[in-house]
Amino acid sequence: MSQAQEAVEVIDRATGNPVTAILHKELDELEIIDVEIAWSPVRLQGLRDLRQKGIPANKIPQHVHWNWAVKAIQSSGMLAFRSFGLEAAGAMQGLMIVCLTGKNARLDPDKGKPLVYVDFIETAPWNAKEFTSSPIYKGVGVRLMQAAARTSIDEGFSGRVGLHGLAQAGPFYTNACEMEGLGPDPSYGKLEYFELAAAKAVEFLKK
Amino acid sequence: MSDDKKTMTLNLTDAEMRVLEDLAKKKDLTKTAVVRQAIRLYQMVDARLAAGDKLVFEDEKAQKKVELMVL
Repeated sequence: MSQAQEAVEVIDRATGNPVTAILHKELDELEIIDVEIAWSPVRLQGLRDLRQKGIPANKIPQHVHWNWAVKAIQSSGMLAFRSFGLEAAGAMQGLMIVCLTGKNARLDPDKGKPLVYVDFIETAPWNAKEFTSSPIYKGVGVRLMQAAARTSIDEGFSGRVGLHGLAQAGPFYTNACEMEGLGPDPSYGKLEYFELAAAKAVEFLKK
Repeated sequence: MSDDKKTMTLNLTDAEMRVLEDLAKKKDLTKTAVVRQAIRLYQMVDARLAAGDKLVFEDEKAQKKVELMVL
């Protein structure tokens, strides 16, 4: 397992108590493939359960087709990408891949300045309300997004973070992550673009 | 990502140094950070070109696309 890591807290929903998790800041390709091996059957079972309950196709989780193994291979060995994971109770509870170059802020007053771009972020299917009525951990996504903001500061990007989000995740980015929605992006499949401004990053990191 | 950092001397012409300083000022980055960005971008572009992709600049308003040749 990767050496670059630190302790963070997430909430055990069963007890409401904080528990210590490990934030991995440098996952390699095989570690990410291992996570997909663990998550994929749970994700597919969740999808099957939803369809068996009669949930229509337009209400199922929009990221149900994601495959982290493919994403890991595409970014493997590339300095522009960095992969993060959040581990608790011996299992990976969330994953994130960020891009560290070629993406610039769209919000004033930092328009045109570099930011950390979140390519993909996902909580484990057993933590996702879309898949289960009894998710295990709360706060996984926020901790990963905070890792993106901290990386942005470390890189000299002042905490700026940007991403294109699926419609179902929009409220998470605006409410929990202090990001501003800039509307659908016609150059990116009309997915909405969200950005964390430098001025909001410090406050977000206190959560 | 590794915290181990190596130091090297970079010999640049006046013009190259001016561009580096201008980029650092414009992007609000240190000169080291600009060089680091350039290396990451170059590696990514090189890998995509080696895989058969093309690097294209598009001007949507003028409906023009220009392929960039990278050595």
